[in-house]
Amino acid sequence: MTGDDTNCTHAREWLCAYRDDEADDDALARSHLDTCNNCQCWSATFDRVTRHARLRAPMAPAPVTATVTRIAREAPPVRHATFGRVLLGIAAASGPLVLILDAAGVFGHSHLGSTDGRHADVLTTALYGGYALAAWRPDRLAAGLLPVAVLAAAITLALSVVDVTSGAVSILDELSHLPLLIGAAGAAVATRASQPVAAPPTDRTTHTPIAHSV
Amino acid sequence: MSRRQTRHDARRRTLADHDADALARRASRGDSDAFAALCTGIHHDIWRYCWSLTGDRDLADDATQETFLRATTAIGRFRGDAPVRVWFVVLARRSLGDTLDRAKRAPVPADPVAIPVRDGTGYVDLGALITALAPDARQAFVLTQMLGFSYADAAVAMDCPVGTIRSRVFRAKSALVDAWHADHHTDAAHETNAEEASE
Ligand SMILES: [Zn+2]
Repeated sequence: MTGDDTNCTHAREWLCAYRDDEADDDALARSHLDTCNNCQCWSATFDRVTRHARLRAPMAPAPVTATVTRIAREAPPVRHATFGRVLLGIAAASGPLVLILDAAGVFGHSHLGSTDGRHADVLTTALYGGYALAAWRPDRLAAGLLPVAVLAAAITLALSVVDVTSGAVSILDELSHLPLLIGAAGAAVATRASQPVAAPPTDRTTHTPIAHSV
Repeated sequence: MSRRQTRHDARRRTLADHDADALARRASRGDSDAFAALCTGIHHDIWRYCWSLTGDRDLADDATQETFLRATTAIGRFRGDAPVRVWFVVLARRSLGDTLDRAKRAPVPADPVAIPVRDGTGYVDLGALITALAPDARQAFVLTQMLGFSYADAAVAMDCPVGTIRSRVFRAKSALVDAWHADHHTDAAHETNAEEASE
């Protein structure tokens, strides 16, 4: 590359950034542009191309505008995700606390002595971890967690009803299952809030589905 | 024409950044009117960006629709760390990537966007020149020239250093200037041949 080429490239690079408000003045580049015929020709075309690109930027076609307007009107932004996340967060935080109290024997018998009890606690802890993850990213994880959370809450509730009505345990003892109920409710609310919205049909008469447009 | 004026021209039909960000914050709290105003205000920019990703009108239409569908649930996570226009552009890039992954293909322009520009005695199709750019250069050019992004915002949108944006914009503009000149030489050659043939 000759010295002239280097000067031309430097001056053009500077002009490009300078026109975009992304470079300070550069006396060397400016003086080169003032004296180099090639760069003056280049910069005239450069300004013309840039001006046309800015003034003639293509607009979204009318059917796309109509579709976007309809999406915005018919699928308002998520409102309830916060409530669902709060419920999931409460369940995720209170669950381990309840497990510790349970281990200490606050809710009747401690499970720590039995292998089965410890296995059950491991599964419950995993579920609480799921609540925490779903509270973090409800749009991605709440729906996946929902069936497990609802089944766990329903089965636990059914067993509790049987135990309490048979007098085997008191209602106070069964409060340890409250995080499971709150978690299931949180997963349901967050899932509802994060439901994927069905695509409204486009107005485009020549609509080409993305999978078949080639 | 001042430098700031030219930057302003790129946005003359769209929302100012601070207005768009204020609408986005309201929309993230569930304000549906704000969300509708935001979508209407920036959808031309998002369509332009989707076009710059693909070079294809139909793909841009589909990607724009998918982006705004996703935005209805994703806007709740907007925290205002970056301008909402940047946030939307990133969402558009991911939407298009997922859509193409599902379709298991790369974007192949089938329905290019024409931007006929009268220059001297003939016309130049600026849309075709832009579509012919390398994809990275094309995106950087559209973001900074047609959407009015600063290089820093474009760097966030394209997930690369600011210096890379600077060189991509320069490469794009240099290629466009060369192509513009080449087009004119071709036109001139055609005209000369036509004149010779008629003699
Ligand atoms: Zn020069």
